[in-house]
Amino acid sequence: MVRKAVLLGAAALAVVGFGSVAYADAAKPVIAMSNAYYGNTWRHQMVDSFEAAAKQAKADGKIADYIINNGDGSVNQQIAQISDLILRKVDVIVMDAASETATDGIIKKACDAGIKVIAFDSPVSAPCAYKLFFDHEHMASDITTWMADTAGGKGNVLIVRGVKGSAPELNTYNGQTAILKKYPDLKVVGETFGMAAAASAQAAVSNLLPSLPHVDIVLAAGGGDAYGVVQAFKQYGGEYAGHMPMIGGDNSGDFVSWWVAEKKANNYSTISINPPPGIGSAVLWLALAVEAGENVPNSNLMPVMKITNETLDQFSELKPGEIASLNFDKAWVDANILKKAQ
Amino acid sequence: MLRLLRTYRWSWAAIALIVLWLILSLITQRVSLHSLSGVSATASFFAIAAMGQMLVIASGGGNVDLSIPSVITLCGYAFMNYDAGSDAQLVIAIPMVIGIGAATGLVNAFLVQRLRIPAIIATLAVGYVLTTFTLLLNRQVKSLAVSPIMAWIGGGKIAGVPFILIIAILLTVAVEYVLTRTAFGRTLLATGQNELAARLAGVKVDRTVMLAFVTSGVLAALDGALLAAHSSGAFLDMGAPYLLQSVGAVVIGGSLIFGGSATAVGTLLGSALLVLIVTAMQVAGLSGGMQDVVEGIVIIAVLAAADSGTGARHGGQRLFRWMRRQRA
Repeated sequence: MVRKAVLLGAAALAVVGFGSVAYADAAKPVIAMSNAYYGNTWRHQMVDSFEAAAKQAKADGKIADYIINNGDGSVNQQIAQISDLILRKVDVIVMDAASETATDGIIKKACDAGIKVIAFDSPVSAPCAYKLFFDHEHMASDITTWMADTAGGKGNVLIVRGVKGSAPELNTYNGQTAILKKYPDLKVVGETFGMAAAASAQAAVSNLLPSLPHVDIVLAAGGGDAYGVVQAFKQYGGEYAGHMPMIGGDNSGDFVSWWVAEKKANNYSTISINPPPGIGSAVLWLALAVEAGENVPNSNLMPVMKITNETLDQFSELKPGEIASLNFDKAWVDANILKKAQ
Repeated sequence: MLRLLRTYRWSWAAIALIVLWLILSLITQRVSLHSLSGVSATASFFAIAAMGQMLVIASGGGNVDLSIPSVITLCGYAFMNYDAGSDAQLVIAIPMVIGIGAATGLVNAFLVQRLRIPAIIATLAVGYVLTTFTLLLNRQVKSLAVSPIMAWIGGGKIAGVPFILIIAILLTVAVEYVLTRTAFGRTLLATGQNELAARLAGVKVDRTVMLAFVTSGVLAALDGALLAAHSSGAFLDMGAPYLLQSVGAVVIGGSLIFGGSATAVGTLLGSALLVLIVTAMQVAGLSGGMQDVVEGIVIIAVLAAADSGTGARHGGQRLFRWMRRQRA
């Protein structure tokens, strides 16, 4: 049985190996993506966006080929994937890492083999890897400041927190409360845990709502809970019918399509923010810049995506279950990540 | 008074519920049933799934249905896909959902009874399989439209009372009737009290336990569809809270975790109690960690009290199991 599996594996490797004849073109690079986890919508959209950009680059003759490897979330599988990519002598590996530290060894091996490595989305600590991470730090404070100012600095606030005990959740919460301290007339009247999921957030807010005074602002944790908060207020009805509180959004298709309709009906105004899965396309153009020997800093920041009342119309076609995103092009990467003067 | 507490084991949950409501009224400084309106809807969804869980637990032998969360999520998606916002489609969507629930129950019963896999492992494993189907369906959902009838059942109100609460109460009455007045109910409890004795007495034990699993699957399936209608959409982790809460509601309500004794009224009250405990703590402004601690202590305290109250009967059951092992 084991021998059979080994033989099968060898056969598969051989097929893959013969498939890579196209890489012989020395002038044009081969870009490979190692994505550690493929189990949610965000990652699906991220990989789709990388593929769209890679196809474009291939059609334009900028790259010889591209490879996409998706993993099961484990470090071991990603190490195996990258080892394989090293043997196949690709030019650049872009990776959404399974672990911040456990991938250090294999990244160093790739760098030593002369392959450029760009880690994006999930942090890695290997010094030789170029980095493209989201600007999480300002996400919570940005959106809270906008909502506080828009509400005129006063009102009742309900905080819907994320997953109990998670580190990013605590960062978000601390970011929110730090801003709230600057507005003495904003009063936190309730706090509950929505577990960053729509159904849980809906139940949590529904339970609490009858015991609260009128709520003007809802600070959600992001990651998929905003639409649940909307449903809780909608079902409560009464004073909130047609006068929904300002609910901070998470760029989910469900929330955004509701916002589009509510804006049309009641001139509803709010803001929504999330790391865009379109980072997949951005990292491809960044990889090309690195490969071309352009002056790319080791550490780069990817802006998170904000949807405002003004830009909402661009997303009116968003489907439920989708996450608002854009496919970024080379000009955008030059201007926003590499900060080149146009 | 004491006799009442002993005869109607659910009265503990009822008393706790009233005390918590009074505390909640004190904190918010207004005494009104209004503060319970949100809690009651959430509790009703828990109660529907917990009723099925209760029947499985009542069948004894360590039976428990841990596939409930996965059935809820899968059927939430199946409902959203096949209902597609039209009442006419309900003719397809509802039988579809019931079919999924019943099939899951049959598989659970097969694994537990024929293959002799402990229910705690078998049903959890079935749950994992269902999760994969859910991921496939997840990519097909095209719209968030819910048929008007289901949207009203899941989210409508009659004179301020959530319609789903009325459904949960009707279900409670029906299950209580089945448990106390029908042959199935009596054989289920007899099986739970002592499977061997029930078998020797000519009770169709296997069929009874199978029916319990199937009922649990169907109730969870319908709950999933209703929950999707309530939330205007299905979400990947919508079933997750139901894993522990469904068992917790059964036990807190006064049913025995070892099987053989069950109370539908208690399970309804237990569901409400679990939701109200968390809500009261949130209104009181307790920290998240503290909330978990209190919730855990309540469940442990109830389990400890329930065990000491029925020690004699379980002494007997343990003795019986020991005798069976000796023979085998």
